[in-house]
Amino acid sequence: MAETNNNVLEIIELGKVFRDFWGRERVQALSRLNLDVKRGEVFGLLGPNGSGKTTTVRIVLGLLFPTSGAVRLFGKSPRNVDVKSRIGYMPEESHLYGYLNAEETLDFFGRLFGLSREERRRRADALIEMVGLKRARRRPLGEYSKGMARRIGLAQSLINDPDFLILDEPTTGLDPIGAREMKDLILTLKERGKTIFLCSHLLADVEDVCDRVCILYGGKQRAEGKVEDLLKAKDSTQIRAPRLQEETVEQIKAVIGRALGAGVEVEVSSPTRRLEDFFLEVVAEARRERLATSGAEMGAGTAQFLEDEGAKAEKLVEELVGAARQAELSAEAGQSEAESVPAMTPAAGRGVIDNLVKQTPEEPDRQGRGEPEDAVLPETGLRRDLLDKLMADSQQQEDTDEDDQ
Amino acid sequence: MKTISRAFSWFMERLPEALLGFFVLSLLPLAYLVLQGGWRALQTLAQSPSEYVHSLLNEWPVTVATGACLVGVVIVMYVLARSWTPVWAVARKMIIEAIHRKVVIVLLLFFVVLMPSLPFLLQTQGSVKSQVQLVLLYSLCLALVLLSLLGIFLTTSSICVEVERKHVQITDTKPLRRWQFLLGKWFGTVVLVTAVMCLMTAATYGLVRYLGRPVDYSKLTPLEVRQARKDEEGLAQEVFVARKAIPTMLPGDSPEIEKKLKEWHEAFTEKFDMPIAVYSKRQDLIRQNQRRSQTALPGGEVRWRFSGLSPARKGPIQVRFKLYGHRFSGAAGLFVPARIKVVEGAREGGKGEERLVPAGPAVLSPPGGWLGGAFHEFTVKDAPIGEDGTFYLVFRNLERNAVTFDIKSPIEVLQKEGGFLANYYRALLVLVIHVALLAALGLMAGSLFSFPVASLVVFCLFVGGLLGPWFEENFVKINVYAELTPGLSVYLDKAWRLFASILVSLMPNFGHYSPLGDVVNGRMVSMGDVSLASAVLLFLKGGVALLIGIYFYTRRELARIIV
Repeated sequence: MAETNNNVLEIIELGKVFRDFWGRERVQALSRLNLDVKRGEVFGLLGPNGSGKTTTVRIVLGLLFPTSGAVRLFGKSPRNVDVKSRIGYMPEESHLYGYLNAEETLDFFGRLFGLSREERRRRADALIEMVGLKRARRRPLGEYSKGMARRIGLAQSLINDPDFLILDEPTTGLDPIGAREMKDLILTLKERGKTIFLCSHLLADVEDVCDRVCILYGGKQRAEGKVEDLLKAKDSTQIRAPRLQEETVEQIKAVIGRALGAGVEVEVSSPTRRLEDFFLEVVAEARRERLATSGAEMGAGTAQFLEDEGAKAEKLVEELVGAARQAELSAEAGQSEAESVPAMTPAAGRGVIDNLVKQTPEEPDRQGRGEPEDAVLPETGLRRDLLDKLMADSQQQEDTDEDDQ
Repeated sequence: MKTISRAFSWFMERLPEALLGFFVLSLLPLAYLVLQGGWRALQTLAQSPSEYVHSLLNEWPVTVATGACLVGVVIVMYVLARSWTPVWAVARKMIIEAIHRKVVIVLLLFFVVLMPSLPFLLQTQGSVKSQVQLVLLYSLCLALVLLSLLGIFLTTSSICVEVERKHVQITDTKPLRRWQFLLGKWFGTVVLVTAVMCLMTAATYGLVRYLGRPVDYSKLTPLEVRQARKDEEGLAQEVFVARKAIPTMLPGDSPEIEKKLKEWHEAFTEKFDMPIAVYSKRQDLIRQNQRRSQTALPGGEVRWRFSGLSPARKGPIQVRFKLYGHRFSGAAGLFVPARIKVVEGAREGGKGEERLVPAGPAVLSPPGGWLGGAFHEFTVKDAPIGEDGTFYLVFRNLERNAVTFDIKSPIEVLQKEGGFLANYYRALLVLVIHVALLAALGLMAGSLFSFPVASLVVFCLFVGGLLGPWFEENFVKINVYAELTPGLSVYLDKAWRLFASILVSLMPNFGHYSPLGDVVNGRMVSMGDVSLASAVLLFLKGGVALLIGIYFYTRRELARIIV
């Protein structure tokens, strides 16, 4: 397949089965996956543990071989050397040589790309400065912290000025500034016409930088498309307006009621779903359909020998959740009745998260300044942090599972 | 302190390139020797083409091996030239890795501590010659074993650890073909091992030269002077020299043997109607005949004819032999150099009868005789070498019992062919070839198995290779026709022999190609020996091992870890 179309990456009917030593099928990691990444876009690959994200990335990199289907990078096999010279890869863990320092590492990878001595030195200097490791450039990587290792991992992925960059959990292990810098870098590279394939559990990252996303579950593609399209709630209308008086809101409601009929319920609430809602919904739907997954599933309670400790922990969680709900109710009592209150979702976990989100300090400030208020849940860091933490924990579990395979 | 640190960093940054330069320099004498050999061959070809062709055909294994080596070197150089940048990048990192892991430093320290203490640790016969020989042998053995272990460890661990620690998951996404990755690892190991080998063997050379240094006679008693001169002479003629070894030709198959075999076969057709039994019996008869030809009855003689010596080379030659006897610890006898003399009285064809006549001073056995089962050596000054390069020797038995000369290591004459340093260098090349083969085997095993399994497999191959000749002698060529009975056991035995033969031929067989015994005894390690070792160990077995490793490694899913 020649590189005539606009696709940098094409995955066609991709399937992957992991077999044991005797050739018996152990895990169906991917099944009939189809997706393409167009030139100049930032593409995000999402999915819960064991959904096949890492397997997909590894097949795209030629580290695993597909059982069925095909992968085309720039119209060629991923194992083609010409193709490899155009890609950059930053793995989730920086699997770099601990005995080399930053300069030696970049020099080694620069040599593999056939860069001249001067060019290697020039690029190494620029990249080391870019990732903020100037002072540690001569320290062995084995002495680096996780965040520093991630930074040098990023630097090595850019040594060849790649056309196609594959980032596996790019902000994991980075401090907030580093994470912000990473997102800025992704957007900068996009502006420069680079294509980026991003595999992440951090939904905020994906939402912030990705043009399109694909959500996997059980090795199958559950949703794919532009982020705005996926998140758009097609059966409702969002009205953006400056802060309205209660009477005005009532008048609007009355107008809408007259237009749509008396029985129609009108809420001033979020007209669009957020990515994490959508993501969770997709996963929940897949679970309802009892799709097989090789990754972690719902837990089956506490193990027998941990029963007592588990009960204590559950009690503690209930206390914490109760306190949070109490705090939320107290806060609500002091607020204007005009503010919409999101309905508690049936899922207890999501309800707790939503309640906690409302306790963010930014909201009073925003209201105090009289800025226009979106009729959606405020974007806060707290909820995302919780989600991120949950997803990071599950990612660790996923890695363990993948290694076991 | 900062300056020292900077200097150290500067040195470490350039160390891989320095080692590469050292590697290239170490190969320059080889290039000189090859060119010298080629020039000689051209001269011979110009003078006498038929003689040259005859010599090529006569020594066809060396001819084939030399041709294979030339082809192999061209292929390796072509591949390296085409893929130099990525291959050297991997090789360079391999060298840095080995240095950072401190395994080289530890081995060097171990060698540096152990090697100088060898003269104090080893029990010798008291002469400087035996001390030098033992130190040389054990030092080279130590260097070979240490560097073999280094080669095995570096290659197996390098591949396995890179896969297990997922380094390859980054490296493999770069424009680096997997065969280039393996070739780079192999080349890096060879460069490093060659450098360390050069250091170790240079230290050994210095030590043995120091031990065999000229003595100041002015401070010695006349008796000590005599002993010192004897030692110096022994060292110069038997150790610090490269001597061409010409063994006697033992009789092979003959019509008499075939006749005996036929008689035996007819007598025992029912019992031994198997090809393997006939083969064993023939071998047995040949050995009996050889033993008979090398036996001197009481008062009797054994005569030898050695051909292939250089008549132009003046100077002494040495005779080396091992003998056995019945009921004695030492054998008394007399060696007499001889020449052919045509006695008067024409026979049919107009030529007189040819007789062997003494042509030099006889060599009498020492008091107590020559010890049975051990090698002995004596010098023949002004050896009567004929124009055709033939030398005759007669042994007269002065014992009351028969004396038999060994047929496994038949008596041989040694004539000086070159200097010790060049010989030492050629032996060093063969040792490097051994380690290069082990590196290839290490990469093969590393691309198939996890680290413990891979290193164990290669270590077993290494030991098996060292024991190759012993294994062959005891399990493949053993004569068991007497125990053979018709039935399944015969076919099992045949199957075992076939399997064992294949196994032995697949083994590295270091013992067969080892230059240690030769270099220690001042025997020539010829370029032919180097060619044979290179062709069989490096290009054939090493090449196949590397290709197997590349085959499996390129088909391996690097993101899956083999445990």
